[in-house]
Amino acid sequence: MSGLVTLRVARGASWALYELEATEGMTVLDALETLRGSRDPDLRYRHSCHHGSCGTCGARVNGKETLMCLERLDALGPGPVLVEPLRKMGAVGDVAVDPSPLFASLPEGSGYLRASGLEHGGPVEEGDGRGYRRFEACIECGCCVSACPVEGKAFSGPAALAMADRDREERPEREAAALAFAARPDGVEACDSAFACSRACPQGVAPGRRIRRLKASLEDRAEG
Amino acid sequence: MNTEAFPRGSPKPNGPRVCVIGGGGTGAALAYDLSLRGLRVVLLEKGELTSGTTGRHHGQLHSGARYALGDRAIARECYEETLILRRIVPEAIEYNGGFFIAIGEEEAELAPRFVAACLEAGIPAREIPAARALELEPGMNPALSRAVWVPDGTFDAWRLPLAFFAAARALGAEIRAWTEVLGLDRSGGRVVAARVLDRSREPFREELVEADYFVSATGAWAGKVGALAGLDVPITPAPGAMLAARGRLVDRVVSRLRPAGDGDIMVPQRGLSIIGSTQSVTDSPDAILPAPGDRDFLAGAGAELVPAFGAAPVHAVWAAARPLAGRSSDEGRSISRDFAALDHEERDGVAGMATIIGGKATVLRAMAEKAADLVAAKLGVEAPCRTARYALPSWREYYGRKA
Ligand SMILES: Cc1cc2nc3c(=O)[nH]c(=O)nc-3n(C[C@H](O)[C@H](O)[C@H](O)COP(=O)(O)OP(=O)(O)OC[C@H]3O[C@@H](n4cnc5c(N)ncnc54)[C@H](O)[C@@H]3O)c2cc1C
Ligand code: FES
Repeated sequence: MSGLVTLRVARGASWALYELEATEGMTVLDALETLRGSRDPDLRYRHSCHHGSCGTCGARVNGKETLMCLERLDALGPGPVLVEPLRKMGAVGDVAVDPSPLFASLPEGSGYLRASGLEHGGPVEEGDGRGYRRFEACIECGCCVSACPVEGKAFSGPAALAMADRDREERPEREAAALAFAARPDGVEACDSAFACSRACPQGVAPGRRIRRLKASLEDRAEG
Repeated sequence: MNTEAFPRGSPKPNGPRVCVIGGGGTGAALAYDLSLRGLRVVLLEKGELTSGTTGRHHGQLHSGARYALGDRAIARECYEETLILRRIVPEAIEYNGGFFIAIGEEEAELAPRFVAACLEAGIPAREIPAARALELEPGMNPALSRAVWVPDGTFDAWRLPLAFFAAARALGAEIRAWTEVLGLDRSGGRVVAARVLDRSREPFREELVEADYFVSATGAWAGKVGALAGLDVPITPAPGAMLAARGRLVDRVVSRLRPAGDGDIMVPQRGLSIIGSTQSVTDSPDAILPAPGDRDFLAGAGAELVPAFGAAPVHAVWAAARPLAGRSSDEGRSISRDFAALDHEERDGVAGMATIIGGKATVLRAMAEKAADLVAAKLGVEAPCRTARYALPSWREYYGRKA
């Protein structure tokens, strides 16, 4: 989709309509940036890294959770592009949300560094001596939480449970804390196994699979 | 230095009130520093926090090696700051070191001078035999003839500054995102209030924010914000583009062993490899997009450092505006990467306001210390800087637990 593009951006209960000239490779975020910079200084959306690493630009584009900074207009096909805020977050306005519900749901004290996974010849010669490290794949964007169909009951949610499972995998000393978190009434029991979270995750974290792993461990423990 | 636990439950600051304009890394670190000194802080950011240049940068935790040949003092400061950040916010740093690699004779000849310059700046660089370097980092260009190890790293451009915001807020700082400064009012030769538009909820509200002192930490926007108070702030917005490819091709930061230029640094981060950058100059830092040609140039430059980069799928191409202190008629490379706290009383005869400009994301804490020293002196506050002492709270606390 190069050339003239129509954007329908959520504004309260209705929409703001914009037309703009899409340039080669332009993303939904680039389009909003262009609109705010040239026409509508009141347009609100969250953004920071512009390359899928910070997790601030999660939104629903044409009804699907995605990172606006990675969503290219030319991949969206013809017709107006619908941009809406994530569900289950606090409100700011337009596409911008307050992600407090997401961050409040995360298990306290979870680490964020993991082994890098790259193979190297020879021993580690520098760093902290614990081997090469990288950040967790989860960027805490909330796409999985927004996509999850569970409503009307307390649920810590796919982001929090996936984080608990990753945490115990990387740091065995956190196993008991992770399982206790998963065993709470709002933990894995509240999951309906719809796997919408795994489909929505832009980082391949597969929260649905992680929830299943936690369930299995809790069952083993109950039997054991 | 030992790292102490974060001073939770400290008494709420009750000193003079300081208004920090700009919610990037510099503003975050400044809000924290001032709060620790007992000053009451209100921070105003026109969009979301870190939606300016911070967040969008390359993510290199600069050991200072890149600046060692040009300016030992800047290089030394970078290294000192990386050591501090690794203590106070370790979870936001992939600390794996880096290599400077020489391709071709000219770059190879630079190696001894480069190592000597790093050592003079206190940076523990050392040459590693080329074959050994390739064994350690097999993704690098096999044509490299010399390799120098340096203590570079990668940091999360959003999470690291957000940890400073979490710390500032935990100490009582009022952090106001979605609040744009539209005017700065002067009275009797002094800046006394900011006229703001608060878009954090509807209906939007215009408001007057009064304070005893104002600091503009608005990066590439510092010229525009200075002009609101009738000040001439020498700043050159200098956009640069970066390209992220899918696949973690190396664990260390890989740089070309040559004077700083375009497309000569590759930074790994999570499952990505990121090449940067380019540099030009512009008038307005808003809505900066990559220029046509950036994509192909960066893909090619990346493949020279790490050959597999050329075939890796492109994840994103984006750009941000550097806040270069000073003015330049060329492409901006000749402007120093140093930073300055401008005292507008001394420079322009306008009291009550300072501007902190220049620098790098890596030195955010040092920039804040310099600016906060100035503010403290102006307001007669004696408390020293303590930001190097305490482990910061998690970034998750900023949104997760409201103060
Ligand atoms: C291409 C590129 C690569 C870089 N790579 C690295 C790197 O690898 N490592 C490194 O250490 N550094 C790097 N840097 C430098 C680094 O990004 C900057 O030095 C740093 O982010 C500047 O932070 P800041 O807080 O001073 O400015 P900003 O983050 O720009 O913050 C200023 C804030 O002020 C706000 N603002 C502006 N006007 C107003 C107003 N009127 N009212 C309220 N708020 C306002 C803006 O919205 C913005 O959020 C890079 C820079 C570029 C451009
Ligand atoms: S802006 Fe950071 S993930 Fe999109």
